[in-house]
Amino acid sequence: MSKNLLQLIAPEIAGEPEDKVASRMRSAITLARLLSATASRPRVDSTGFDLVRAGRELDKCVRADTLQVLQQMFFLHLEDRSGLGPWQRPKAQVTQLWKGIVSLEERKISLALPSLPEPGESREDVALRILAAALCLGLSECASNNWRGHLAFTKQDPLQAESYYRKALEGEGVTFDERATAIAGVGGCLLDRGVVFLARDWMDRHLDLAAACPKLARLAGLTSLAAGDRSMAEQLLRPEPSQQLPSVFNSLGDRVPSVRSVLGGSFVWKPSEPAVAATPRRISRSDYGASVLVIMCAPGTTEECLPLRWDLAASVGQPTDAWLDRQVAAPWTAGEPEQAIVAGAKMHVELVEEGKVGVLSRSCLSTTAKAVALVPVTQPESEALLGWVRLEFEHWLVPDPSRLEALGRAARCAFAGVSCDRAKPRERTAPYGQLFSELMEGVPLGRRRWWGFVDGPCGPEQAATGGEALRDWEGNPGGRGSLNKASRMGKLLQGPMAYEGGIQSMHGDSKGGLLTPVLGAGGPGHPQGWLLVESTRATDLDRGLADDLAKRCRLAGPRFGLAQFNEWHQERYGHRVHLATTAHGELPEGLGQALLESNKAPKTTSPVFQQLARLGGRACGEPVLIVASAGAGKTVAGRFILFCRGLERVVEISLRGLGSADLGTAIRAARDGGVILKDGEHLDPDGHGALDQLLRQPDAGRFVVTARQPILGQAPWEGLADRLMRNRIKLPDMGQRRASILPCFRLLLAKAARLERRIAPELTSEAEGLLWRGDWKGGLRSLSDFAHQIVIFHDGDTLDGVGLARLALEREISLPHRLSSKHLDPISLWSAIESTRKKCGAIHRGRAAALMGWDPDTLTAKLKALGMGAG
Amino acid sequence: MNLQPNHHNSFESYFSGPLWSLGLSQLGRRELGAVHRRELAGLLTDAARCSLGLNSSSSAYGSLLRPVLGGWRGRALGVLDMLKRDDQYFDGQELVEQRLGGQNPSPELMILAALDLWEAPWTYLILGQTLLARGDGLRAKEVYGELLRQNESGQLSDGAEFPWRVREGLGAAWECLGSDVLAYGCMRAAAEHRGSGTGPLVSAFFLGLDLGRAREAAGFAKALDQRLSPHSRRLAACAKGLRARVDRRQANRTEGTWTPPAGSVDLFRTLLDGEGAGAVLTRALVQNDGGQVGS
Repeated sequence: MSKNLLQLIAPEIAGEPEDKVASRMRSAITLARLLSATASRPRVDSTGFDLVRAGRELDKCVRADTLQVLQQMFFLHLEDRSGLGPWQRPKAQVTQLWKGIVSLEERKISLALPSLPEPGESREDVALRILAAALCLGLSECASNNWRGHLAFTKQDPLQAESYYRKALEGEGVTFDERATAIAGVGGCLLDRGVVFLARDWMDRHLDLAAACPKLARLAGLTSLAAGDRSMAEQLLRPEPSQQLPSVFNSLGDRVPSVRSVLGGSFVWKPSEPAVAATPRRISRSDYGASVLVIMCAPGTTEECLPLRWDLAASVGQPTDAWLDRQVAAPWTAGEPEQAIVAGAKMHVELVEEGKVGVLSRSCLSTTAKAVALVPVTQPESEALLGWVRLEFEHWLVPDPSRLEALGRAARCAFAGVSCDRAKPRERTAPYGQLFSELMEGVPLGRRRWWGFVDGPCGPEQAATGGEALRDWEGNPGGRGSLNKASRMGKLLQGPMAYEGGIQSMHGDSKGGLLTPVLGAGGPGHPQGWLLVESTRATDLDRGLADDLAKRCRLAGPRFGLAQFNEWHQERYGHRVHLATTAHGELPEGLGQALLESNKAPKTTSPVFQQLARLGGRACGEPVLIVASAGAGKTVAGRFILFCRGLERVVEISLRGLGSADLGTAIRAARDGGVILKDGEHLDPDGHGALDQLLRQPDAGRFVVTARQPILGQAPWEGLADRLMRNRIKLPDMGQRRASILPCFRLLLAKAARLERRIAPELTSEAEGLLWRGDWKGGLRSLSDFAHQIVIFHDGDTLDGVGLARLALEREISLPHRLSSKHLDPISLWSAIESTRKKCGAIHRGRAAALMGWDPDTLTAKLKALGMGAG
Repeated sequence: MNLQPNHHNSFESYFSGPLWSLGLSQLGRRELGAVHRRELAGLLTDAARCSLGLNSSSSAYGSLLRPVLGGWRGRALGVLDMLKRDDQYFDGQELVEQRLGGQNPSPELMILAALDLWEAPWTYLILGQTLLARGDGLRAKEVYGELLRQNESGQLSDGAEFPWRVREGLGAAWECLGSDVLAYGCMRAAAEHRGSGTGPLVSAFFLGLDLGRAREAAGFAKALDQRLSPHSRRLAACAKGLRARVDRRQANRTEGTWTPPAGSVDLFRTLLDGEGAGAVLTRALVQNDGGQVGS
């Protein structure tokens, strides 16, 4: 009977298996019930489904669900090292969430979903892809800014994160949760930066929302506690068993016992994560949330204990003589912590509760001081004490010990090149003075004066000044407010800034000024220096001038970066190096076209230099692979990358025949400095495991691997290809960059002369031409050897072409008298033209022809044949 | 707690969808039913407030209240007549009958029944106040907290006054729970809200003084001087309420009298010697203090 009925109702499924039939019948019955329920409503003639609307609703639901999954996945990929991040880690497993996404894809739901993480892909990269997918799904503007803020916070860039959170608060239609997240984000960023009082004021301003949001109330309590307001913190902090304490508060409970009761015994003490190393070439009190930062020389370093540098908050003013005298006498005064530092080179931190007297009674801040930290500065190898850094705080939030140790390491640079008269600031005129003068060449001065400042360890250092107006600027100084502000803003200032006279200016009589940052080689980032132009007329500083200066500074950036690198290189390796920073475009397929275009094109940063600088970008935490033939300058390029990444010490290790144990020992010797792993093609298979581990660590950004040939496809490098593939660079051979031969040779000649204690001979133009035409297959090494031999075997102040040819012949070095004009090598011709261009960018035919070994007519004929005409 | 308004009870829902096909008589009955529900909700709310003894002069947070509607008994009888004539039954009908019969049902129950009949944001405010009056600060905090969350998200609003009244209620709840800092934060935000009443201003002034935030308290005193005349009845009521409030706070503490903390002693003395609304309120505190600080 039932089968007959089934044949009657649904003849097409009558023969199918029972479970399938039952399932389909259930669906049919549900549909029938829905239809009958709708149809039985009074006075409704017909019923039906609006399929388009239903589809739209379904799409909306799927999008909302997917967005929620993406949010959880995004939060799972974030890492909160400080414990101050405003997001909460979801409890779901990351694999489960990815499975959910994959199942959506399998159901062929047409949404832009992120693909599974690639092997070795960093958490931040995956999070970024998830953010992109969420934006496609209609993530709100406010939420997207919050997510971006979280990502910047994870990358330990609280300044950037704060700007995103503030942007999130500006939007319209912001929900309560989003607003609370953004407020907590700003508060967390401020606290992370150590700006405790700003953080407390910020949270205080949003107490009404904190009253409805426990997360905000807790952060408000923590900021109050850090600022030393116990009674307020007591009312706001309500400890719960599962709560984790931000790492910056770890030691507070130990150092101030009365605070423990406020935090409650149920807080989980989270072990502190290693903090980001302080940027070595720059020390500022605001990076540590301190009001006073003083670097003191230890008694053995100079004849007496001297304050080397100080950085004080504006509210403190200048240090008094009495206070300075006390600091100088501290190592010889019983009971002073400085004595312990001199004796044992151990860090000392003291926090004092209100009403109690300790070391703080002798602080610069006197009554407002709540904490003092003394950080020893030692020599890298011998651990001998150079001096110490004294930090004074108006709050209890002393940075982690790991961060203070990093400060101790960073402060070493303040002692570099400092002798007994160290108390005076370093003179930074050369080579920056020349660079600034060249930068200002052609700018009409009239009533204007300019100053050039270089970024130094403790802020801006004056390098040059020029102009006819505002002469007595040292006798009549302004407040330098604009320069101090620019220095504090750091990388936030990327373009020109106009300011008014008076407290903002360098000269007391100036009516206004323009400050332009000189950005480094890698583009946007921390400025290498600042150019200030002031005038006696306010209208003298217009938009045109600002644009012109910004353009000039942008072009000069790489040279400033190179100058800083050379300063560093000279200090460590005893000589300077040459890296080509500018070029008139690249050499494409057709030489004629390239020449034509380059004549019109302005000088830009050399592509290879730009790549090196970008790889050295400080945010990049991945290892770099440099591939080039022997003597192409791999080691110098590696040093440059590590210098850009802010690593003070660099150790070079050859991988030739190193086993696993040897490699581990060698790396340990490098401690936390940069490491250049040379001869990558000779890596022993035994050492592969150890190297694999090293390059997968979070601090892998301090490793540079160099090799003479492409190694990634070969065993044992196959497994590491994913780590090195993204950050690799191939340097051109010496023969492909003849423009570098002469500048390099001059530097190598000077280095050899210094080593041999002889005078380097001057090269005539014929000798230079000969050198330029050499093939130098051994690269820089063969150039260096030849330079040494010239210094040793040549007597005389000058070396002409004949003498050079004779020396080369004796050493079997081939230096041709002319390059072939029949079988033209386009790269050589391009290099000859590049090396001899005039300042305006035009081709200097005579000099270019001399380099090629041709007469000028041959060059003109060749250029005509290439389509350059008479120009 | 879900405080989403129930849109099935709103007028708009009667003019959309298949209900258009209803006859005019049916439409009239439904509309009338909605009016009755709202009327009954209002009557229940008023009854709850009356049974708690809340009015603007005796309550610590009087500004939360709207004036009590007059003629409660007559209106309640009218609604009941209508109900009988239409032979309809409403939730909360028994509560009205009990009240008319001289009994006093639980105020909280009456507010909840009112909310069931007609879900209005204002009724939630009164629910919070009822909880506060019964000393249940924890639940009041939850109600006001949720109201603030929804109001900030743009989901729940009832006029320009609503945001600051929610904050004032939340502040009162936190004060009841013993967190003066959060209470002050809410009162300050309410007082700084455009068009706010004098209640939050008085609370913010007192709490600022009590927390030692002299500069901010001085600002609130100045604002009070501009808004209230020293001889106004409103100010006298505020002073009386403030005195009662300090008495309540002191009853929970061991010390005998209220004294300003070190941070605001100077302001306190300056205000005592001055004129204006701030001075009147400060003198009210001195009366409580027995004149110790003032002398």
